[in-house]
Amino acid sequence: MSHTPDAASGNRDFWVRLQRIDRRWIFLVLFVGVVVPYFTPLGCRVRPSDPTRKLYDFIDKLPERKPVMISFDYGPGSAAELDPMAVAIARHCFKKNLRLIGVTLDPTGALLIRKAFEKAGKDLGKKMHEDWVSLGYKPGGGVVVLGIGGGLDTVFATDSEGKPYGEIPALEGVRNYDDIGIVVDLASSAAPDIWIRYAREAFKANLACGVTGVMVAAYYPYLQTGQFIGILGGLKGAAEYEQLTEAPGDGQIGMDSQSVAHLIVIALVILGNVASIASRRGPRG
Amino acid sequence: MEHPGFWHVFSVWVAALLTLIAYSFLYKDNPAYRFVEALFVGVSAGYGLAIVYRDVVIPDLWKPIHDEGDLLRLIPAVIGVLMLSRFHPKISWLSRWPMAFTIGIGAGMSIPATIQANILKQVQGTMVSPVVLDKATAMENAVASVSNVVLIIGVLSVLAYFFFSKEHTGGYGRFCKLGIYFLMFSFGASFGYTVMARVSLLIGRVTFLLYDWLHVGAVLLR
Repeated sequence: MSHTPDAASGNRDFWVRLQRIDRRWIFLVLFVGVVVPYFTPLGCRVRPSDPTRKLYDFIDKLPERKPVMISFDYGPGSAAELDPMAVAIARHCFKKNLRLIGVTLDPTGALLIRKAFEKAGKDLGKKMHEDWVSLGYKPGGGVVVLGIGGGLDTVFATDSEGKPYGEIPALEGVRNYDDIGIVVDLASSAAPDIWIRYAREAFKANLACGVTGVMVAAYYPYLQTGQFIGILGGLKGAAEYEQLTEAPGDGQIGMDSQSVAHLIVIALVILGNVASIASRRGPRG
Repeated sequence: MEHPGFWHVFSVWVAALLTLIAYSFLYKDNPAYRFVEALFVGVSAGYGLAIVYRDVVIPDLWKPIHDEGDLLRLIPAVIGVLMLSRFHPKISWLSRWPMAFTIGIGAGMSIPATIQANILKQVQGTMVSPVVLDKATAMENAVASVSNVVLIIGVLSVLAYFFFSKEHTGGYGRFCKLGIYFLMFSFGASFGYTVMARVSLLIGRVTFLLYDWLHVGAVLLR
């Protein structure tokens, strides 16, 4: 089939105009794509990945009352991705009757500890100081992580409520990393590097992380070397963990929307490339 | 159902309106958006300061000195205060001492730890056998072997690409080009995860607006 020069030029103009489309239309399409599944759920299935399953299996095999430390190294800006992970892991630990210790290397993460533990333990009757404790924030990053190896009570003399270390049942018998089943670092910064260097390499602590989607590709090499036991990546990682614990939460709520948004982005990438190629073809004036 | 208190409802409305104002930037820059942006920066700084005061200054400085008479705590406190001398040109040189202290401690701690965690362990992780025979089935052995070969070739070709003392021509040039393809795969994976992360943040806000603010949506799991 042949085209006249005018028709070919018209086609090219269409593709050129398409590339200059007002970006606000794209924002609108994405917004609609994210909102619609809240009203008409698509039921997209989440299949747990190996890195998520490894962390789940490790925690699942810990003996009762073994302490698990979660480091909340993120602020409210990343809570949409990391809070669902914190709640899912905490809920799993509470169901297994494990003790939880919350710390943070980020001052804006201090208040998120209590919120996550209370939400996870509310239905299971878990109580602050008996089943979980928030030790709050300490500055220094690597110095804090190294200090915990020397003695958790030397770094955190009290919890964030001011209760002395020795009077907290959830911390009974916990001296350092030797007494902690696993440290899970939930981070939106380079904090996992700190935990690898000073907790894993210096004290051989069992370590895993949950990070924002932007960061997860950078931490896969640490999984292969065994420095991390498991990794949760972004909201999908949280949804996978919720799937394993059979306790749907904020991670799974968003998975339909996430899938639709990804399909829209893929379609736009393909359309953009087609438009780019088509606009360069044909007779040039 | 327990009725939420006034302050809870008030805080949800404030958060919802601030969210909508923040998203108004997507349509067009406007004074309300700039106000919210400035508010966010200010509140974050104030929030961080309050937490440092509650979790550090009171339990680690004030109480030990005031209640227990531990005057040794004054030494790090004074070193820390010297940092603030940078704001006064005549005595700004005093800030070099805490800076030297911090840099010295930081370098001493991180250099050996980084070499061990990020170089030696990663090199060790690359030293894998291209032929795997210890898996349960022949298929698993084949998959693991191919995976290891891809890992070895990927690492070597990317390292070759960043070796600039030899011209990238001929067979060596083609091997370096293979390294570019591995890098492109890596960038693609990072881009995909970045899209996922940004959409997740939008989902977080939409969940808040629909469930916590408007109380609508079919998938009410909370």
